Amino acid sequence: MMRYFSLTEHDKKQMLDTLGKSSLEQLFLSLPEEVFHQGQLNLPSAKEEYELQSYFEAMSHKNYSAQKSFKSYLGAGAYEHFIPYVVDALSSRGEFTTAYTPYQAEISQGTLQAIFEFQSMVANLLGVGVANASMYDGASALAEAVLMALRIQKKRSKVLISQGVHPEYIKTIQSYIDPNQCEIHYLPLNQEGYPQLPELDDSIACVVTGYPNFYGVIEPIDQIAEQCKQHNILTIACFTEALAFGLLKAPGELGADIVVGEGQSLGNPLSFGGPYVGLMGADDKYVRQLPGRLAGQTVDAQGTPGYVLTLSTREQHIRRQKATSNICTNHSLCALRAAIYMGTLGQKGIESIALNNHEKAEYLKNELTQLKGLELLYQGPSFNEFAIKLNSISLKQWQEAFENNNIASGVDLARFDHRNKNCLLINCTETKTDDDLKHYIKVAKEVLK
Amino acid sequence: MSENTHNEPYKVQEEQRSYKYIPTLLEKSIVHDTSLENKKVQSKNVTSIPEQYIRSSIEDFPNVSEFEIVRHYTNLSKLNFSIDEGFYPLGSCTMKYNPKINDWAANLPGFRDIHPYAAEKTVQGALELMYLLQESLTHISGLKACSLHPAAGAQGELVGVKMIAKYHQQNNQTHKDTVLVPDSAHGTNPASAALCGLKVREIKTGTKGYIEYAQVEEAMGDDVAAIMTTVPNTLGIFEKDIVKISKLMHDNGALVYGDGANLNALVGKASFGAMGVDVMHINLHKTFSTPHGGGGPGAGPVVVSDRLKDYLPSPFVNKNDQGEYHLDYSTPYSVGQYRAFYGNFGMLVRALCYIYAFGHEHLAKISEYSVLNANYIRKALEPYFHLPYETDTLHEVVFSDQKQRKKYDVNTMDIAKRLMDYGYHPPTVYFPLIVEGALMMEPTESESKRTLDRYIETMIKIAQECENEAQTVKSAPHKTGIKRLNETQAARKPVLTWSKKD
Repeated sequence: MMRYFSLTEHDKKQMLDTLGKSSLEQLFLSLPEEVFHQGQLNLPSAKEEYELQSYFEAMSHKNYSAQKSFKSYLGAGAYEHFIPYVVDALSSRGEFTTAYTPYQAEISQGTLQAIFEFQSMVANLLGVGVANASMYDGASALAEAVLMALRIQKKRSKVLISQGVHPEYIKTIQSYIDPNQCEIHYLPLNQEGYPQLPELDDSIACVVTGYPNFYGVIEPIDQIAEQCKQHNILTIACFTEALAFGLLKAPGELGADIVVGEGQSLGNPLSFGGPYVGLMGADDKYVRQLPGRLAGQTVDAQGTPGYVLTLSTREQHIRRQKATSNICTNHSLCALRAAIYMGTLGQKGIESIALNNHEKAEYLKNELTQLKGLELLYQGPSFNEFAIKLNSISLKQWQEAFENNNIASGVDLARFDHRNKNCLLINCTETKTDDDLKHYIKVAKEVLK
Repeated sequence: MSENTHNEPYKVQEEQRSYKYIPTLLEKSIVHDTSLENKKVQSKNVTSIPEQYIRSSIEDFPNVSEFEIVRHYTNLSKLNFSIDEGFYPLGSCTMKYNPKINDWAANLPGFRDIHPYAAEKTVQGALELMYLLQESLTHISGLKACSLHPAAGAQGELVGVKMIAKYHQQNNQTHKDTVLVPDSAHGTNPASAALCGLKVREIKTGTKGYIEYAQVEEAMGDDVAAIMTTVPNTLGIFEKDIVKISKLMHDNGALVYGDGANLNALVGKASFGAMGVDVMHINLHKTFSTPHGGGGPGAGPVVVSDRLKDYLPSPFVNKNDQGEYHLDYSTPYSVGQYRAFYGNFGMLVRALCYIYAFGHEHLAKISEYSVLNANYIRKALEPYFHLPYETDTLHEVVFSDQKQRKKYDVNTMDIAKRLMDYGYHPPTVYFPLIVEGALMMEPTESESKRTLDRYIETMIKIAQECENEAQTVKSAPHKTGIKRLNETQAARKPVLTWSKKD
């Protein structure tokens, strides 16, 4: 433990002498007696580094779902992708991990330029004019996007949300937004998994769509956006799988005004759900309503190009209770990982991985749906995940059979909605080999027999 | 930029910090051959997706080799100042040593490769770790229950204020719609209150640098839902009347919010429960050394008193009689979910690793040493810089530029920029807002006396420069390679993405 401190006993004594104090306790005389902890803190004893290592290693080994022999088809907002080692190697440089928010631009150009490049790549990937320096995650980014839409549409108070949006994202919106502030309506999905729009009118501020949505379905956001435009309603496109845009047309290009979602797939590990990185972009004209940090290009006193954090007049440290949002950070290191990942794969790499994901998932989907005893929950086209419904056996039987083969077969959809009993969301990425897929199909055939 | 290691303590760096404008990756790729063999994709022939949704190509995206990526980001990293290189006396933001073992722990395959929806029996280690951290934070704060859910301090704040609002709603006290916020508070405090639909009534900080009981009593009314306090506050001063203020709140059915930004001044020493706090958020990166990463990720767990334990965000981790851990969503009046999944798990691993390195025996040393270091700087610089509040301070100290500004027309920003020439990151500037020209310094527990001595000598040297060669300070920085950047231009004509035409 002492290795984290740099003061020697001699230093301490000298410093206390300088201050005219006889002990460290005397530094805390401004505290009333009743606020001190009484007795020993209820914590374990200090551990040496070798003890920490064996302790944490042992704890991590209790998570057997991380073992190599364990194959996971779990997705639903968190995806297992291969991460090139260069992402770890570069992002773990101390100059990046132990730097502070780049408020002092002259000695933070590395972080600032990395953010600027991240913004540029995200804007291009999502097909929008401007993207911010990142948000906490996809869910909170979506909640902020709805708040942003309500700010832009001051006189409108209805929010329409596709039921194809991730259920945890919907819960996040419900927690963020004051029920007095707006009325939320949910759009049911049809057989394809597309949201059914009601008659639109001028009381609606925005429509939130999923692209691809929680069930993996590619919602027709172009058609939705077109209808919305006729009533000046904003279209918010929300995604959980950023790699989809290596294959799918960008949501911004298809008419979405605000695009938000989860960027974990871009070089960030699963890490049991966090930290992830929320991506957020919009049409240029909404830049001053965009929450979160922005890095911008400028010049120094000699005309050399450089970068600074900018447009901070929207932020809490200036506007306090009138701020655009209370967010005062980004997930900078996760954004850096995403930038390095995108740079490493490049345009062609992202396109090829996206295609690979789709082809593998499509193969699995086609093979499975030929089996008797299950069917697709939604018929619409999908990217790398899809939902099935079991008709002849229970999901419990199915999952047990797969677990016996060391396979997590998918996410039980009843977890989010009891109406989806016996339904499973299956995700498939480039990490699964052809043999893995064949094994999956074999187990499915056996259990359905 | 490395810390000056020469014997002459305040010598300007020998050499100009090298700076060369690095073209963006996107610029680099347009001159690049995009048909590199290993990046070729067969022409897309996807029939499973309607054609109008198939992308032809991603415009303006990088296409460079891995080697070029390595060079690009290595060169970018060299343009950053980091705690691993030199002293960072950034008050209220807390830049301390980030032990390398923490990163190792968070990157164990058993932690980094697990899916949040994996069956609970397959992720018992992760759940156990979260449970242990919840317990640790509960004991450290002296409160009753904890949720690790919030993604950052500001989100923890939002969750905390939501809990307060819901508590009053549940108790049919909806007229309680106002939060008392001191004028020294972080900007996120009023912003969070506003986001919860609450009004903000400002409390003036007393002449001694803390909120005086009489002021609060005067501002108190039946409409008050809570007071938001930071202990110690943003001047580094302990809120001397906090126990009495909490009692006043509770006697009137109001609650006490504690901004835990400065917990590192009191960790292992003082109990927030004993102060009467009902809910506080803890910035794990400040007190428990998770890396700042150039702006995040952080983690902002909330800990609460008995009054609010039924309002925690969901889920948190619980243990059953068989010793199995599970995610608990059963909180009766939960304020809900504020993100997907359960928290910034990777940060939680690091925080627990830090806490366990100290254990119950040594945790209080974090606060003792940080307070010792801060007071040492304070004592040494008092003759040279104006100290607006004379009250005892804990882990940080706030000076102002009053002496230098009035006499020599040199302001805080100039002093900050000049520090860069000597190889230091500047302190926090112009915060808290109640101190004009504030210079807020926080050395943390991890720095050596030698580093502090050198920094002190440098600050004194700059104070002398203000007297003798003010222009040198006003035109700083000189050694950073890049000069002061034009922020006005950046805001007036925002260039936020790279495009070919520029």
